[in-house]
Parts: sequence; C-alpha cells; structure tokens
Amino acid sequence: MIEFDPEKHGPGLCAYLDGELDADAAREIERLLDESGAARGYLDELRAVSRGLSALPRIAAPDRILQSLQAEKPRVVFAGHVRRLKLRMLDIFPQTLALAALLAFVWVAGRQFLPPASSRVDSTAPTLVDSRHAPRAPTESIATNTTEDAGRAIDKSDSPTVARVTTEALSAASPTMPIAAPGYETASKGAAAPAGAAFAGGGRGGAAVDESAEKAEPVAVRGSEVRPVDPDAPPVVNVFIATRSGEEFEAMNALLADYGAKVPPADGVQERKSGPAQRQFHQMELPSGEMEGFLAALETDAPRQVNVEVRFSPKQTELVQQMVGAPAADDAQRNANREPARNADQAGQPAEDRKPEPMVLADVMPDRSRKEDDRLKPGISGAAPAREATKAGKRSGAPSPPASSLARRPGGKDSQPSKPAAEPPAESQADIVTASQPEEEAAMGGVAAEPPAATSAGANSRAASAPQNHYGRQFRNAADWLSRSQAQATRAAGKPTAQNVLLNVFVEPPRQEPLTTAPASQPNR
Amino acid sequence: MAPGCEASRLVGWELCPAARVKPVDETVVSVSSGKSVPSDSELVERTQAGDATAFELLVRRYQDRVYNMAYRMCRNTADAFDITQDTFVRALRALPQFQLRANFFTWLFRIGVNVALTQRRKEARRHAFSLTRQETGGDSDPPAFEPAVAGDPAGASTRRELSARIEEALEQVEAEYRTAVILKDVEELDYSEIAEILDVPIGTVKSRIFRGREALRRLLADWQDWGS
Repeated sequence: MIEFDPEKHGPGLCAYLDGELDADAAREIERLLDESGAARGYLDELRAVSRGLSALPRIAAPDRILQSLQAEKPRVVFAGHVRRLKLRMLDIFPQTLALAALLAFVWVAGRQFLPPASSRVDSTAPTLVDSRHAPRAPTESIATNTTEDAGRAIDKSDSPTVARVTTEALSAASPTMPIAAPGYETASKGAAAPAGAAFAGGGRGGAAVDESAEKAEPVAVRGSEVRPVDPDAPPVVNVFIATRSGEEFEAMNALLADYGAKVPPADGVQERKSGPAQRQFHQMELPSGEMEGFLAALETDAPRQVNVEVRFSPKQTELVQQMVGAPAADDAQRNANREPARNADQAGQPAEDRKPEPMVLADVMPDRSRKEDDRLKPGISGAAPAREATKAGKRSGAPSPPASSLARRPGGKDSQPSKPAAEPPAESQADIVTASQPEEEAAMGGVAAEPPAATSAGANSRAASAPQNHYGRQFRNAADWLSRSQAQATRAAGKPTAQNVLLNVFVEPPRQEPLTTAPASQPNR
Repeated sequence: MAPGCEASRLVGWELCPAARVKPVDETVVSVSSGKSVPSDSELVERTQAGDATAFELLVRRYQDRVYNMAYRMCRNTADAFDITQDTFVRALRALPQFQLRANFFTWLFRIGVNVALTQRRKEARRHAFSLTRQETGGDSDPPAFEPAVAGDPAGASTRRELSARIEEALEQVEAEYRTAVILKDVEELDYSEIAEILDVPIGTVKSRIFRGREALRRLLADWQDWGS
C-alpha cells in the first residue's frame, strides 16, 4: 500500500497528467492511483486546474502591432547605422571626444555663471491668475498640503501633459504665504515652504527642489500623487478650472455649483492670443459616495484645463499606504503560494517592518500610444449614459451642452431634491466596482465601441475629430481607483469608511490653441 | 473550434485566428487554396536576406500567441501590447544572429517571456500603484477569441466568472511558476519546449508546473464549480 504524499508524488502526477512520463514512471503512477483514493482525487483537482487554464479565452493581438513594427523597422536599421557611425568616429576621430568634453564644459560653465533662472522667470513666466481676481488661498488645513494648488499656472512649454506652477501665480494666490515654486528652482530657494508643499510638476516636467518638498515623500510622478492629509479635515474637493470664457465656462461653473461648490464671484475675462480666457477656483465638500459621479461628470464636461484635488479621511490613507506601499495581506497571500522553505523568512515578517515605498500614482497622464485601447474600454459606471451621449454629441460636432444638460448630481438643483447620499453601505460600495459589468459585457458582445479618433493628424484635425475633452482616461482611472479603494476600505474596515487620501489629478489635454501665452523666452530649465 | 478550422490550422493564423497556431516546421500546402505556406526557417532565412515581408509573415503568424502569453503574464492589454511589440523588435534586431538550427518559435517565446518577466520585475521595483490597472491586477478587455454565446447565457456567465477567478488566482502565483503553467496549460507547449524557452532542465519545468498548479488548486479550492 503506497501512502500518497502530494509533495512527493505531485510532480509525477502532473507529468502523468501531461503525458510526459516514460512507461515505467507512468506505470508507477497508475499503481499509486489504483491504490490511493486521495491520489485520484488529487489528480482530478490538478486536471480541473489544467482544464480551467486551457479554457481561458484567447486574446487576439491588435492589428496595430504590425503597424508599430513597421514604424520600428527603419529605426532599427537607423540605429545600426548610428552605432556603426559612432564606432567609426571613435576609431577615426579621437578628437571627437575632446570636442565633446569641451562642449560639455562650456555648457556646465554657462549654467554656473549665467544669471539664475528666477530673474528670467519673473519677467517672462506666464501668469494665469489675474491678481485682481486671484483664486482665494486654500484653507489652512489644505494649505499645509497643497499650497501650490491655490493658484496654478499651466506652462506647457516643457511637456504638453505636465502642469507646472509658476511663482507669480502662487504669489497672486496667496501673497502672504511663503511659496515654493517647483520647476523654477531659484525662485523657491530660501522660501520657507509649508511642509508637503511639493508638486513636482510630473516626472517628465522637472522636479521640485525646495527642501521641504524633498523631505516630503512621496514624490509626485507624472502629474499625480497621493499624500496623507490632516485626519480631522473634512473631505474637500478643490477644482481649478481654466476655460475659454463663455458657455463652456458657465456650464462648468454650473456643474460645480450643482455639486455644491462654493462658487466665488466670477473672475474677470482675460484677453489672450487665443481669445478670451477665464479661470476659476472652486472648493467644495463632496461626500465620497458622489465622487465617482462627479468625476464622471467632469470627464464629460470638464473644460480645457482642470485640476482636481480630492482629500480623504485617515482610514483610507492607511489603506492606500498598505495598498501602495506594503500590502501585508497580499504579501501573505502570495507567500502562501510559494515554497514553504522560501517563505519561512518572509511570511512572518510584519508589514510594519517593511520599508514602505513612496506612494505614487503613476500612469495617469495621457499616453497616446494607448489611446485606442482606452477608447475600447467601457466607461465607469454612474453617469455613463449621459457621458456617452455628450461625447457622441461632441463627436458629431454638436455644440457643447448647456449647463442644464450636464450630468447632474443626485439632489442637485435641477434634479429632484434629495439629501446627498451618506456613506453607502458596504454592499453598495462594492457594487460601484462591479456596476460597469453590463457595459463590459455589452462590449464583449460586440457592441460598437467608439470610433477611433485621429491621433496622428495635426492639432487642428485632432481638435475637430476628437472629443473636446481629453480627460477620459485620467478621470476614468481616478474614478476606478477611487471606487476600488473605497470598496477595499469598506471591506477592510467592515463598515463604510470615508476616504482619506489626497488625490491630485492634474491634466492638461492637447488642445488646438493654448490658453497660456507662451513667453517669448522660456525660463531656463 | 469552428468547422474547417482544423484544416486551416495548417496554413497558420490567416484563415482561422482562433486556432492555436503551431510552429510551422516545414513548408506546407494549404488545403483550401493550394498555395504553399513557407516554414518558419524559410521565413527566417528570407528575413536574414533582407526580405521585409518575410518578417511580417512571421509576426502575423505568431503575434496572437505572443500577445496572448503576454496578456496572461501581465493581465493588462496595454502592457501585453508593449511586451509583444518589444518582443518582435528584439527578435528583429537579433534575427541576423539567429541560428537556423534552433526553433524560431521557441526562440521568439523565450524573448517574449524574458521581456514579460523583465517588465514585471521593473514594475515590482517601482512598486507604483498604477491607475491603469485594477486592484485585481488588470483590465478586463473582451477576449477576442471567445466564441459568441448562443442560447446559454448562464453557462457563459459561469465561464466568464470562472475565467476571472482563474486569472485572479494566476496572478497570485509566483512568476516563475505562473510562467511555466501558462506555457503548459494556456499555450499547450510540451515540457521540452518549455525547458528550451525558460532555459532550465526538464526536471525544473516539471517541478514548476506542479508548484504552479498546486498553488492554483489551493487558491481555487473554495470555488465549487470549477471542476466542472
């Protein structure tokens, strides 16, 4: 009688299942199976796993793989030429190195001895905020975290997708508050910036250099960051918008007011090269349960520039820290799958002992190479029908919807009056995550996706054919993330929990005419 | 599999994309069209000689499999696209040094697996929480090859749920075990091919496949219907 031991006989059973055993080994396994019911049951389970994996649907490669390779091929050839050329230059012209060193020296010396960047910034940096109508400074609790968000000038000269903060805008926003102006290095030197007032301007746009920013982790990457906030502060949403003046601006204001924004008196209209422009800073308290709908509405109706900040409550900060930094539960689960010996030193390790990684929400900024995929993805739940309808209208060239047609907050002034939803129960929180399933299934069933917009054409054609709003990906991602983190927080706590993370979504879509007047000479970066 | 696909499997992906394209080791003749289909080695030779269309044929022949493998490894269509693209770019770059004695398919898959594993390692190092990915791991794009459901919505729903469960469980399995299991059960390669792709002995392949399946078995233990 052979006693069945999964550790000992498992690999053999697996190989037997796959028909990879020689005759002798197979006979031995068959003898084991004859004698041991446990072995038979175990083999059945392994077979079921194998069949389940084999039954996974096949995913077809998108056609554009070939297109992208066709674009890549000349580059590969070209790279080969360059490599050969480089080698030849090194062989034949050793002076090249000396010349390169000399140029590097000149460049470094020039940077050392030229006037600091701040002097150029002061005279040339664009100012989005009219000092007469400066957005009010955020409340104190916000200011400790996000001073720079009080006023933000968007300078797209460095990268089309990265928002940067200018000194002037910040000073205008809060003249009494010491401001660090990331991106303009010398402008912030010596300023006692508030702790955590770091906005790195995105990974591609330059790094914050003020000392407090360097100390304050996490570092913002690619325009998005998560930072813990004051636990006692109420949930607050800050929205900074910059639009063309007119219907679009009014519609956005109406949308925000509908969600309870305290809309300050209208800012003045500024004349720009691209036409009249207007910007506004809103601050509002938004129940976390409405966050998804709000972001969905923004996705549909947000104007050209909008910064959204969401502050949450402390429990979810812990959650997100776990989720992003040291996911203890996940680790334990994963470790359970590893070999016991390999796990012995890790499984028992408490999560607190692990060094948490900086909390970074990456991949938020637009990635046009993935645009097509995004379009095929179903939208988030909530205001999806309205959003799709609005998008369809925009695609067809219809004018922007008036304020009354925007996605309305339940209980808003245009809808039936009802008390804003309190924290939804655990089930409904979880439902947020799965609410988009019907859409996904519809998409799987072959429902026509959005037609692809022109991505390689010029700005004009893009502006004409693509939806005006380019935030879809960002807001969808943010909303997805919010829903899921809410649901997870609720599950973890066993009860509805408030949100507790500062989520900044800084987006600057491609647009036909920049709102910001580019200075004649760019500040030195 | 749809009727007629069995025959068209011989001619590769073109006539029956749902067919699991096996490496074409020798030139075969299409049953339907009578045209000869060049073998991998023939296409490789032509590519090495500077025939751009030959490599295009190789890409067309294997892109679905590489993409599917990449998707199963990372559970994200965008990453899978990047991995597939990177795989073929690397293959194109390395093709001049490719020895015709080797099997192109396993060589290509070896590149693909390495690219996918490297990408995952990079992600793990960065430890970023990406908004493009869901907590459960990836996005939920429609599986393009899944046959249309006709008359059995409940069964389809169960299958989808089962697939989702398996995918979630698969993601929790350690990378080296997951890779082996994917290559065996999803890509249906045999042990020797997997050993060649992973560059490990067959005994190691055997062990890894067992560990991967065992982990999945435990993770799916609470799923009552998965056996059926």
